[in-house]
Amino acid sequence: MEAPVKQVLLTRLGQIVPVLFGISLLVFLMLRLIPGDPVKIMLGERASPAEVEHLRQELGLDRSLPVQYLGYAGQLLQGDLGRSILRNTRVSEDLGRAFPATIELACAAMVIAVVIGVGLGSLAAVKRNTWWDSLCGTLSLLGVSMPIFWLGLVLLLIFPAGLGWFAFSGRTDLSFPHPTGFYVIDALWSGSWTNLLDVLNHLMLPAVTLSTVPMAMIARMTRSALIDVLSQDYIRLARAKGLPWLRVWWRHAVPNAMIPVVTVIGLQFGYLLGGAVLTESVFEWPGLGKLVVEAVRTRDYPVVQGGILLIAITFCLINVLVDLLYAWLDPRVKQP
Amino acid sequence: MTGNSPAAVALRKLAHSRSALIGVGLCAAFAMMALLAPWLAPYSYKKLDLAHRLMAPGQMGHWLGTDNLGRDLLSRLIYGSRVSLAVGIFSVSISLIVGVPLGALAGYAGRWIDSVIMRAMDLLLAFPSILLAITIVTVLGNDLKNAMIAVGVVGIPVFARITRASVISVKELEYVQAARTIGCSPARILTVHILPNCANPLIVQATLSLGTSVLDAAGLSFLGLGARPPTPEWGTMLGDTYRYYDQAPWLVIGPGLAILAMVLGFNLLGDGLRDALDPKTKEE
Repeated sequence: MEAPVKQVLLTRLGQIVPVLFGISLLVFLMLRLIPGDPVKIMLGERASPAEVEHLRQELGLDRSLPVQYLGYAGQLLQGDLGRSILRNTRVSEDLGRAFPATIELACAAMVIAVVIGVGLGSLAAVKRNTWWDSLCGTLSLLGVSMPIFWLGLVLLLIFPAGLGWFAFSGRTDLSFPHPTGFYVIDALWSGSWTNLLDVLNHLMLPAVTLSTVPMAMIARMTRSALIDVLSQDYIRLARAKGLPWLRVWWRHAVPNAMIPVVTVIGLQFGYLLGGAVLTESVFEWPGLGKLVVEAVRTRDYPVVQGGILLIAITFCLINVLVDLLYAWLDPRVKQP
Repeated sequence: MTGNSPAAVALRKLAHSRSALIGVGLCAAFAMMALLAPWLAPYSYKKLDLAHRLMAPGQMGHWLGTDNLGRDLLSRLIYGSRVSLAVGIFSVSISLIVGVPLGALAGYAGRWIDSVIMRAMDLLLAFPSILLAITIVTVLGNDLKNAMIAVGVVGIPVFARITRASVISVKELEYVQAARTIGCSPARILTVHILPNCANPLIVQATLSLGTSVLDAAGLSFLGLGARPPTPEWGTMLGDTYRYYDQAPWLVIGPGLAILAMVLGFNLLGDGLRDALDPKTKEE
């Protein structure tokens, strides 16, 4: 590992510790800040006093706050997130099932966003001040202004309901083993094209829906970064000495323009985790977002706490990865 | 709009930008719709009429059709503009009222006060925005008021950061030092001398935040964590009726287009204001 990258890694990991502590404290306090008795809210009015007392002890609510937090933090470090009130399953197992679904959806959305976003942004930069440029600007603006849950509904209306293309909801209609939980990989592993096609058929619409906001941001950033780079002297020199256009583009313009674009891509990956909450609800996608929203509705607080904790920690770790990538890509980053 | 005062120049720049004018037009149209809702709406937004449920647009005087309970969609959309505008203004006010003083204090005081405030802001930014809003709604309870508070809290760190950065860039300028030498109190220096000079980025951010607040609140309501029926909130309307999309697609199209148009209006206006208030962009 190069020295600056290592330094950035150490500094960022040092900075992330207090944030992780803060996140765990907030999530811990969440249950305690709910007005009224959270145990009675969770169990409902008909619960017997014995049941209430049992759950209160199980959640540790009968002890003092600092002791409660220490107990909570200790359990967290062992990977114990408690049990779901509704299903009596381990929260960590529920999250373990939902996590790959969300990550798969976010990755698919990011691939679409990067391919179309970089393409649109490049086209707008090269064909500056033409109708291509206006089209790219309009699409980006619509992308950031559109409620994504509505876009999801409109896509459902047009494709599965109208044209009979793609699936309405869920991750697959077929049954095959899921050793990794990432269905695309599992389908490839199963060696059957039918499985893979079915998984992609289910993945397409949610991924397109979720990709709109990052796509718009990536297109905007690619356009402005490329316009900036294309006006630099080294590009003019490369053209003046007669290099073919494609080589100027690929060897000189794109690598330099990609540095800010990569930052946006990383930051937007974090956004995808939030956007997934809405997309998953529209497409009945069994990921973290849907799990958390349903748990909020049914007041299954241990699941809400675990889900929020996992998403926030993933969000922070992605931001650290982005900084590392930035340090690795940009040789000017000597100091974090 | 004659004269060379910064406000007059900014207004002239705004008036010459076509996209900003579209933004102004959209915002003005929604404001008028909200103000005149009782006169514009052809029917009551909450009166049930089960005999005429899921009617297609244009039938029996219902221009945009009726919903699953027979309520007139157009009237609900018109009244919905009141809810969405109120959500936007209320949430952004919370973000401003809490975020600006925190950012100003952090930027002006520096040292440990700055560290404490900004680390707290970093913590809020460690959650994806809709997730933080869901967390707050979980604690406070699901209703429209709490959704507005949640969306407002989510916006606090952005305003705190912008204010802090502006205050730091202004606080060492000569006129602030002059105010300090003649014995002005820190509170007076901040409110009278520093903050008015930090207003431009805050105005732009507030306009853009109106759009994101409307989007976030609509998202919460769509998930059933915000406004409750029969409140004609556009997100709630979508969440309540999208199951009828095969019989009544107009119930999906109308509220979504309304949200899109309002957010687009705020975004166009915000972008226009950014260019108009930037002294580096030239007047045409």
